[in-house]
Amino acid sequence: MSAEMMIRAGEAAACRPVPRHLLTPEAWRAMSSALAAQPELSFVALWADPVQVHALFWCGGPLLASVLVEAGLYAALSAARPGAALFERMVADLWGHQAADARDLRPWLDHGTWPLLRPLAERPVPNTGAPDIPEMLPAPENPSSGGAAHDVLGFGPLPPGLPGPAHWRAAVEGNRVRQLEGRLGYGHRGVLGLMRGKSPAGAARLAARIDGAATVAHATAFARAVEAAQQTPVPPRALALRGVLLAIERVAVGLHDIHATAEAFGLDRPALQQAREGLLAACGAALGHRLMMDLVRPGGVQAEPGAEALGVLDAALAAVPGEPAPRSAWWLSQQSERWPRLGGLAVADALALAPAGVVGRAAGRPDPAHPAAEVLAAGDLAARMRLRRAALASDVATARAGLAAMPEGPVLVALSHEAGEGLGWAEGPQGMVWHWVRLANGTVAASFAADPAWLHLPAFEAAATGASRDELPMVAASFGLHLAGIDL
Amino acid sequence: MSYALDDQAAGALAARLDVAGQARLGRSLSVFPVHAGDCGGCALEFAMLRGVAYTLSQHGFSIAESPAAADILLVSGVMTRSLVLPVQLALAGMAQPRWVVAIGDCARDGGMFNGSAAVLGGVSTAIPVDLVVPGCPPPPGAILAGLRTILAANV
Repeated sequence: MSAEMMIRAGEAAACRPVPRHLLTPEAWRAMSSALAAQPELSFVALWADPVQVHALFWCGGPLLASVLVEAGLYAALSAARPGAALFERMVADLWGHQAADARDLRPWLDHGTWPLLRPLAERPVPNTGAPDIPEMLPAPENPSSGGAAHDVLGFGPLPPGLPGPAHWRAAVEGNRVRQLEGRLGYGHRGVLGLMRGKSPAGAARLAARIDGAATVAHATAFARAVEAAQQTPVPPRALALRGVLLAIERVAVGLHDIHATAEAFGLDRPALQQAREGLLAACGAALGHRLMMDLVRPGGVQAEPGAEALGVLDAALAAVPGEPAPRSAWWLSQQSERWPRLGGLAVADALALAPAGVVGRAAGRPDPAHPAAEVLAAGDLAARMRLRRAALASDVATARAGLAAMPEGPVLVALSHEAGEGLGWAEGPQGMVWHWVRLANGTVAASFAADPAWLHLPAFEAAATGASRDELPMVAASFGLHLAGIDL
Repeated sequence: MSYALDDQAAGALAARLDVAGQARLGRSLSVFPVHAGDCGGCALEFAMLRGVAYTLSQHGFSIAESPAAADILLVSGVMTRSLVLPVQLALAGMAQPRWVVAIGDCARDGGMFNGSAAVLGGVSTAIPVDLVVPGCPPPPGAILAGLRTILAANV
């Protein structure tokens, strides 16, 4: 029996729009062992609640599996799905459930500085120990120096030029990186704990601040999860507005990521930054917030832009540089834009880690959310930039088409106080963002948010191998790594 | 012939240099951005300042590569417990005179992240803050106006 069939055979717990299959510990262990034989079953996320561990896969659609934790243990998925390793370390830090046979048992978010251990467990334990010294991977052996280890460089936790806050360790041979590892947790805010006990509207404001570079996507995924749990239909105008806001966010952040990559090279791309500023200013004028925070909320959208405001957005989108006209200033700047072929992510790594969006598509992994979207095999910075450019054009078209066909009507409906469980998703700038929520007594009883950065971080670490120390900021920028989405 | 310095003349020259230096050199300050428990919103808006739209450099600011090279520590995000020591060390590595600017509602007082076991509160729970720029996030123009306040006070 395939891993997928084993999951579907599990008892279906009520979760909408897809059920959550509850597996026995034996069935979960068997499913974990069967994963290696079914590579097309993509791993998306792993999280927990005080008694169960949940996994989200993609197999033509979302597929949820859960297992009851026994004596603090559950079977690890990271042996067959390396992308699960960071999630398993996070589950151990926040809920205290240990993954048996996990690839990596080191702490991830917990640095021993919190007053409580396992803050999301049924009974958190007071922390009486001293803060930890982050335990990093040992430097690999250097074959060219008779078995001695590589030299190791450390950057951060406040690293200039690299994503942060994070501590980065690079094992180097000369100036070449042989192994890169990031340690997070410095910026961990405890968002999941804060969302517990809040009303959906209150929790939505926290969801909107999980990752400022995907605030619309997180707010929308959370809102959809709540609406699915309560079976609340959202008015057509709200749905259409969400689609436009999501596309605008992808354009604005896409412009930032391309510009930031150019900036890391010391190149100037003023047209990109001017277009981004024009778009943010238009959002500020038309919608009341430059980054569109708190506009999407459970039940609909908290904005009623009139025809004039929609026109302001359309004008800013029209000004985003698209296909350059020959001999235009924009065409000339494109001529000098020769992206180097560095920071290559191997196709094998991309298939094993299954990173979403442009990062995966640039390295031979089709995006399940966009099966028809272009896929490249090079996996390097140049491939990522080429796909980001193409995404820019298609997202501008999506947003403008949405604005042109905006239906009339209400934008917000009242929520019920119904209990339930829901899964929601929305396409963010780096790929699909997922939210799971369990509601009880009109408040959030448990939730989780899966940002694409969970799988982009290990992909970046793999791609950094072979780059020089000076190239790391450029490679990082090309990955669009916004770590706040993981440092919940 | 004596080459001994005229103490009085040297003192007067130094005083004049001091004034001229403040007026000219003092108009350039370097900024080390620190993203603490920042969702990235403040960081994105700060990034806008560097480019053509806001021209941070034309206003007399540069980005420092390390705290040691910085006059201003620009902190966004809540102060998490795990970042207290790194942020205190960053400040300790800066020469006097130095300033700390907290940007955003999280950096001001912890904002909506207060109550989490991982969070202490605003930036002032770890280091003294000279200037707060509120907002969630503050737009680039507001961050620039805050930085210019320090420039004005420094002349």
